[in-house]
Amino acid sequence: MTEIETLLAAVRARDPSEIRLTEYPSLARQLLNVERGGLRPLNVVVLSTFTTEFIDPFLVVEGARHGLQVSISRGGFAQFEQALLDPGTRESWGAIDAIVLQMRIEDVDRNAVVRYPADPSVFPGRVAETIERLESCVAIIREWSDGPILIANFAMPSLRPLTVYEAHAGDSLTYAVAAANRELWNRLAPLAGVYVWDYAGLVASRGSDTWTDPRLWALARAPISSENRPFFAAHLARTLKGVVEPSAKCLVLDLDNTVWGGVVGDDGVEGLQLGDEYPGSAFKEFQRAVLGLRDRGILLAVASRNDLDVARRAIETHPDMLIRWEDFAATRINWNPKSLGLREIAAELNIGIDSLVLFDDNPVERAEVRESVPEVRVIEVPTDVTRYAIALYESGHFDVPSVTEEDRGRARAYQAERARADARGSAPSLEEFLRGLDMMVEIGHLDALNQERVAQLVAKTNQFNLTTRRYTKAQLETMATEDDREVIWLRLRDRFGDAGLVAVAILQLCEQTAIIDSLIMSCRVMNRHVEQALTSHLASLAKARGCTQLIGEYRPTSKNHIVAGLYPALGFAAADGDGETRRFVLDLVVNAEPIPWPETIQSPAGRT
Amino acid sequence: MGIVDRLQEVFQAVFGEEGRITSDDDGPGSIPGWDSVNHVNLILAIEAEFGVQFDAGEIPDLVTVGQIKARLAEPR
Repeated sequence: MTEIETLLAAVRARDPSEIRLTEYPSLARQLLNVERGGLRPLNVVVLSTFTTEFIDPFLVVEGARHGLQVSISRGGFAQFEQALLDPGTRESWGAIDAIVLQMRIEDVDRNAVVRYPADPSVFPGRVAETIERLESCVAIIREWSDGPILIANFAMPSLRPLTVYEAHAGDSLTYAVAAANRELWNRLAPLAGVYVWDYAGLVASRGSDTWTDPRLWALARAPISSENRPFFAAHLARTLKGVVEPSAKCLVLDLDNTVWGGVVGDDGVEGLQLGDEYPGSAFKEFQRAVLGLRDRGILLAVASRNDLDVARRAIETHPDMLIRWEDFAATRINWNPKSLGLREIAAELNIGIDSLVLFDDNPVERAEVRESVPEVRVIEVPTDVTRYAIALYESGHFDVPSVTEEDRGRARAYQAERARADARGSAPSLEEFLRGLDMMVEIGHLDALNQERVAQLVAKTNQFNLTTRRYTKAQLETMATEDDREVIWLRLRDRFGDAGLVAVAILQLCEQTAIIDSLIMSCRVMNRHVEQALTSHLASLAKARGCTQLIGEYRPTSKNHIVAGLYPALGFAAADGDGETRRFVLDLVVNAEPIPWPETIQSPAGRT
Repeated sequence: MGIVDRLQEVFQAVFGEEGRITSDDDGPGSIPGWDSVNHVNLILAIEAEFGVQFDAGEIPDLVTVGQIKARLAEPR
């Protein structure tokens, strides 16, 4: 990882409440001192009725969290029109990407707020004047910039004049603030490039009682309390990002322990946690939140390492599934690496890979995706499912200033496009991906070191198992000593790590014929040409032992249909079978290499 | 860690490398960057680190390392 990637990872692994206050300045210094490649430079001018210099380190760090390289410029204290009109000040700002304007009514006229009950008409009057000033600031800015302008709305102050009866008294400050915010929206939001920054929403969500620190107001005209500075910066950074950066377009979901509780392959559809009682209710709530995103135009997709039929049946038939199969614009349910599924989803939906967001409970999968497709935005999923929805919404990846009719109809449009794509079939570049994995295999004969794992694969594997002959450990040991049998294993490694011993084959030699008695592989490594490597090795071995033909057997069970076509795909010809066993034959004489070694896997050392 | 070491960490968090404390007399004159904005930042960082809260009236007076140490040594 580069220096900036390390720093960003340190920031993004924690939310603002988890970063110590004393850590922010040093994180900000580090961020300012490294090449902030990959972050979008954003020079923002902040004009406010209070001192905002204090937020700078927080804005640098929280900006970086949201992909922004923020630098901040200002005018003189509490200056608006003067700063905006003064050519010298403007020159000192350089090229500006966004302007933030914040006028608090309590700074404009403290009496209008603190002594509100004396004359409830004073406050709305100040609001009207303030909105007029903001309009005139926008007009001044528009003389020389058409960039985005964020205008903070009005927060409820922590001192409520009527205390607990604010809501009961109809002409209270509470209702006057609500009316002021509506008026601000009416007058400013329709202007091109002007956005209302929901400062009031931020203060409300953090709590207005502790939002300000009267000491800081008294000493430094900087009202926001120490512990809320990171949140002020985080909210502003998110709002800026939503204005200058396109939002993510597609939420890619894992299934097991994400959309439902449990593992459908193990627990079955009936055993899943999904319903109206905890923990099933929490997964259902999460699904509702996911659909809330879909309703406003976010596409949904699935990337899950699962058996397609089993998973699809769960999605289509579980009575408590709120998200239905048709709600997914694309699905990749298979045993491929998740990063490949994400690449394919982006290609199928014809959107940038950087507009995908992954929500997956499994940290290993998240790490794999971060490593191989760093452009994908990966949400840190909490361990507690009741917190999933908050993590999803608070990630900021789906923030958009407004929702259009087109957004609302997007999901339907993609459903139709998906039906078309299904009809013509899609061709992702699997080979390219596999080449990038730097796969290496090691092949050997059964010995004491690996007999446990070999016996386990033989006993447990259901799906990629051509004959499902369940030999015991003792039987396997005996076979290994026989001249006419070979028990062979394969280990796989790639640049992500060691997958371990993942495949086993038993070869039976009868004079000039070699029979693949068993061929077993872990589903985790399916579609990586590992089976081709192993059978290529078996063919070479048989040939070296003087055989002229290699026979492959397939005995269908309820679970191994995925390998029914394996031998024909490897170039074997169908031959006679008997009863439960289908046979396929490969001529070892005609070709120098009867089954070519896959190009995407490095040959093991010493292989001939 | 003693008060001095913890204080040193806070100073370096706020002022960076230039925040190295050399004597009890260190203050705005000897530590570059100790301006009015960073004075408040320093006080807030000390509050966070030591779990204390100073009254508004005390804050402007805590302008040397020695004064801060003396104040932290007082009972809460």
